[in-house]
Amino acid sequence: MLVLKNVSKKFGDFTALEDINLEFNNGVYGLLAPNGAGKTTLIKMLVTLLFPTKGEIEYNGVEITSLDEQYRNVLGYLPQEFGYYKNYTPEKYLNYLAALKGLDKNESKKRISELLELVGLGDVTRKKMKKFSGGMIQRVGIAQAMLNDPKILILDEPTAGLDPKERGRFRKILTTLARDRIIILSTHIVSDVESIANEIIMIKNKTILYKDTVTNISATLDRKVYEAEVAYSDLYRMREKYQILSERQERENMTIRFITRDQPSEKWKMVTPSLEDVFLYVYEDDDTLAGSAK
Amino acid sequence: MRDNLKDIPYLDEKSLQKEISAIITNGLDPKVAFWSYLATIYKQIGLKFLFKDFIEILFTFLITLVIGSAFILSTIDYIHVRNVNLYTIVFIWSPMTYMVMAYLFFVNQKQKTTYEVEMTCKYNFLQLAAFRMLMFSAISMLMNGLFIYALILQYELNFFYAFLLSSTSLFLFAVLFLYVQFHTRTHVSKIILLIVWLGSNLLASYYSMSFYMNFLKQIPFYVYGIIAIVAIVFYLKSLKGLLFTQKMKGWM
Repeated sequence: MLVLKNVSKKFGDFTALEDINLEFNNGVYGLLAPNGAGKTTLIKMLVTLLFPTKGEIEYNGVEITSLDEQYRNVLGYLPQEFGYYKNYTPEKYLNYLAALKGLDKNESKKRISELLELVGLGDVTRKKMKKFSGGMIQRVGIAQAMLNDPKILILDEPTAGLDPKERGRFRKILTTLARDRIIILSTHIVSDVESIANEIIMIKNKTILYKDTVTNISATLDRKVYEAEVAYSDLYRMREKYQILSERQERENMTIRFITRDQPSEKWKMVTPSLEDVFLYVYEDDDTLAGSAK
Repeated sequence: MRDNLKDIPYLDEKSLQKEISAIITNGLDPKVAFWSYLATIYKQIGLKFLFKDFIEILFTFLITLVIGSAFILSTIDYIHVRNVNLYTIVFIWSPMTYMVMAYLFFVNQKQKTTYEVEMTCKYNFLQLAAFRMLMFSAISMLMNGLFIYALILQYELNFFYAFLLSSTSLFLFAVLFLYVQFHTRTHVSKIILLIVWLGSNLLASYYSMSFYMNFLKQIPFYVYGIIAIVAIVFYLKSLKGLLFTQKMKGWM
């Protein structure tokens, strides 16, 4: 079990995270927040690249700094910007990282071959990575994070650069892996975690806003989300009056999805709120949301 | 039942201590010695990956060698050989080789995008750094030996004395470098250290020849030997610190 106790992180006068308390057991956790909310800072503390200004992070009851290499031994990490050596082949790079991870040479050979197959790079194991697309590099990153069969797998924006097909494949891989390990997946893309995460963690104003299941978080907007078909002439009025979650064009009209606490009109259709609705609602005033891809 | 309990003899003090020691020994992770840990790193990772930037190092070193030699030759021409003691050059040159390799490694490594992944592995950047620093100092000693040998072919120098001087200077500088590396976060501090080292030695040699000569040449062999040994001990202690204590402090 991985536990954060009253963790705060400051950079000079700037507070990035304040009084974070979290507990992770085996399963997939989706760390969902707009860019700049502190996801990467939190993740960097979990992988020992940053040190909390206040508080403690414990794994199985022991502070991770005391565990030192024993902790890194059970850790798999894919950073937001996954670096690689351009002239290396994925096989050579994974061999190098396997050596750094202290894996047995013969075992790692077999493991590397299995992992490259798993991420769909089985036929390019000996091609130099400088010729790879962004998605292929990201898949090498995912493979390296799983090299040591980690008990804690931390992935920072792992689907960046992956096409929809690759995203689907990635979600399947994670679901398979999640049974006997902690997987923490940071993203600002709701669909990445909506279907696979056991729990979603949302950060707002430097603290944890939610840590709950998708169903429970979505339920916070129960009976408040509606869809309505409106004419173009009414669109501006609706936009001003309600918080619009999405808009889509249908024939001559627009179908809008919005939040309201008002008495509903007969023309409106009450819908089941989704995690994306909560995300858009929660971060409505958040400046950082402007930079997020939904 | 009570009578049976009474029959169990209580441990004597010696057995008690023995049992406590056994529990502590089994409960705690065994302490790994510095050299055996380095040997494990070597065995596990191998020279191929430990010095994967070998060509880069060699290339940088050759460029530095050419620039350094050109600089020394032009300096000698400019201030006339009579004013420059060759031991000064030996004293200054020695840490330069180390600095080129060590600094290049630290700067390069932290700028590489692979840094984050490498830092979260079992054997991370700092542990590799400790191993490499040790190798760099050995390589520097070898290079200095060759450099002094090259000087002997043209000038009158005592090889043993010059080598001792060069090693003393190398390890004194290496200790300072590691101290600055891990107590300051700016690149400028390391450049300042090099400039201060170069500048102070050159100025002392140029403006206070007798003092500098006395300092370098009049100090007996054994004193330099002692200084070198002390510097090596401190250097190894710094590397040990790098290997075991500094590695888990959010080093970014």
